[in-house]
Amino acid sequence: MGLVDAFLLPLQLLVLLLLHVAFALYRLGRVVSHLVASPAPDSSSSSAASGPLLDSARWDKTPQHLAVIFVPSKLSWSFSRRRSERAELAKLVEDLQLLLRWAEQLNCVSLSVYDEHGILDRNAEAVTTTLAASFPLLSPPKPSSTTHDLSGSTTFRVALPRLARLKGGGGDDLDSIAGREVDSGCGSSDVASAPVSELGGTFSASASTLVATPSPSSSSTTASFLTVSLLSRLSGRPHLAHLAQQLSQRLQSSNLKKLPEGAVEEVVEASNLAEPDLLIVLGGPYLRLHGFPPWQVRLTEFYHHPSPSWLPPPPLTYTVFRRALDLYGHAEKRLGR
Amino acid sequence: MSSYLSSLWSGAGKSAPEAPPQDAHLPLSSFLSWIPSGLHPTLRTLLIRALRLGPRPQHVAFIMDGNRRYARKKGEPVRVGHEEGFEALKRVLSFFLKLDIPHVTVYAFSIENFNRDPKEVEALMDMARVRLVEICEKGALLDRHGVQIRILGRRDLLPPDVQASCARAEAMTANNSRGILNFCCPYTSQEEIATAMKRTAEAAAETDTASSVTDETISANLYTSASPPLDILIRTSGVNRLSDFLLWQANEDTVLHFIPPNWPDIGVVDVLPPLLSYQGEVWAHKLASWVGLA
Repeated sequence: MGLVDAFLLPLQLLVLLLLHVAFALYRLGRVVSHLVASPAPDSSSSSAASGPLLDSARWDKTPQHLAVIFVPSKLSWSFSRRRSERAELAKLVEDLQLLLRWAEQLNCVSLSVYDEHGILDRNAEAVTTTLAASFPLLSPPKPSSTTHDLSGSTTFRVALPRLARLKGGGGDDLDSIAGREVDSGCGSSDVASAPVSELGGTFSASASTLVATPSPSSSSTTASFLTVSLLSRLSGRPHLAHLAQQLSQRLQSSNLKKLPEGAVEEVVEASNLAEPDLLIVLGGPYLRLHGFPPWQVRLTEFYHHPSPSWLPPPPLTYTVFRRALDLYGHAEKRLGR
Repeated sequence: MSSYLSSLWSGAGKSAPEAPPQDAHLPLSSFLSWIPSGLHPTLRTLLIRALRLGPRPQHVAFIMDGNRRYARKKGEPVRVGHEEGFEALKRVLSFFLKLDIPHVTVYAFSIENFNRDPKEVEALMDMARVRLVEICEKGALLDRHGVQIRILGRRDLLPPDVQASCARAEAMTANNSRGILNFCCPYTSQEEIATAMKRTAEAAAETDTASSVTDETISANLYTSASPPLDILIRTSGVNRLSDFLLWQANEDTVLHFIPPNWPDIGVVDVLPPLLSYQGEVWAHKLASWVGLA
């Protein structure tokens, strides 16, 4: 039997080699057709600062809660680590500006941006200062400080001029509700109002609270805002471990043996990170989540833009974003049924 | 298509009642149908032997989606789709176990699926009553490969006789140690994570070790803790979501593959790209560390 195996071994090796060659060619073919099929972004209808305009009529639905994972390169493309971090940060901020523009056009409610190494979170002040040049920020960036805040993250709100919107509860027919709000001239009297300075400081406990408009203006267009979260690895599994620690300490101090029903869910949801409708993974040769908060991606659609890990991370372009929205716009959610 | 499938695993075993339960074979693919069907077993064995020469993942997960769409396309009732789905599970398991991939996790039934049409839920429970024990019998698939079955999830939500079948199936394979089949039914990942966090918090409170709780502690309290980290997750029917499956386990390095065919139509050609990608990455990594990069 050993002789037959010894004879077959070269044949098996050949088959393995052929399989990998065929697979490599197939992947190369996909990359080439990907490049050929994607038209160059139409730069005539946009300015460099605002980026190309989205053709919203193209999609059945667009995400209200958007998330992007920026996958870093495996190799360092610069001699000094500080210089490479600065270069990475510059690239991330550029992409973030484009994202904010598009989120505004799509009327998104929240935007979560994740990078493993926490470059955005660490440099949050610099990031928001740069963004403040083109987008009005409603509050100074708020890093995680209180016990229930999402660890390793910074959140801030960007005012976007558009019709008043209800926050939370995906799937609502927001246009008609917003329209109703505006037509009846409710203004801010029916709305749970809070002074602007406090808006950024506290998270509302229930996700479906109506949000105050920061400044009274004509009833047809009132400003509302987009919540932007800069996330890092600490916001994922380590944050859940941190919550488990807190629960454990709470148990010890209360002299109970077991946690009450729903205690875990309550504490996880208190960190208020939105569940993304669409998550774009930018970079990496294969689709991976790289430590993005696990709890929130339960029903999220994933779109992956591949890029070899030895190349610098790919920029977020209009073509990539449009393809992601194409994927999301045609997806059907069944929710178990 | 179904006649093609049945020709691949010939009905020879049906004539002799004492014959051992026949092995289930993963079909090659419809576009390779020009290869005469007599050669399929040889080709399949050659393929398996060839792949075994390279690195293989230790833990693979499947979301078996598309049974109902498959049935609708064929004009059959949904129950038939699920039955075909179970046969497909046997075929895929057989292929993976022959490749020496010891840990496989499958999403059989979600807690949310209880909201489905009661007749469909009853048909699925019927299948669970009979089929689970069937694959655990002496000489059957799991026994042949020395694989243990574990039913993960909120078993207390299942009818009592189904719970009894689950317990029986687990007991029958409890002594197998070469691998584990994690059969998730009824399962949701958020429930698993919440339970793991609860167990972690309660244990830490009892032993006063709250400060040493890390995400590793929580990982050790998950239902799948007996299996190594998840390498690959494959979902069929072209949907690009995890739908509350293995959210914690698939969070880090797991490669997610969303493939177009419906689950009962899955074939060798569909599982090859994930396996070849895995091998390619392991080799590239070895090469890079040998050359001194990354």
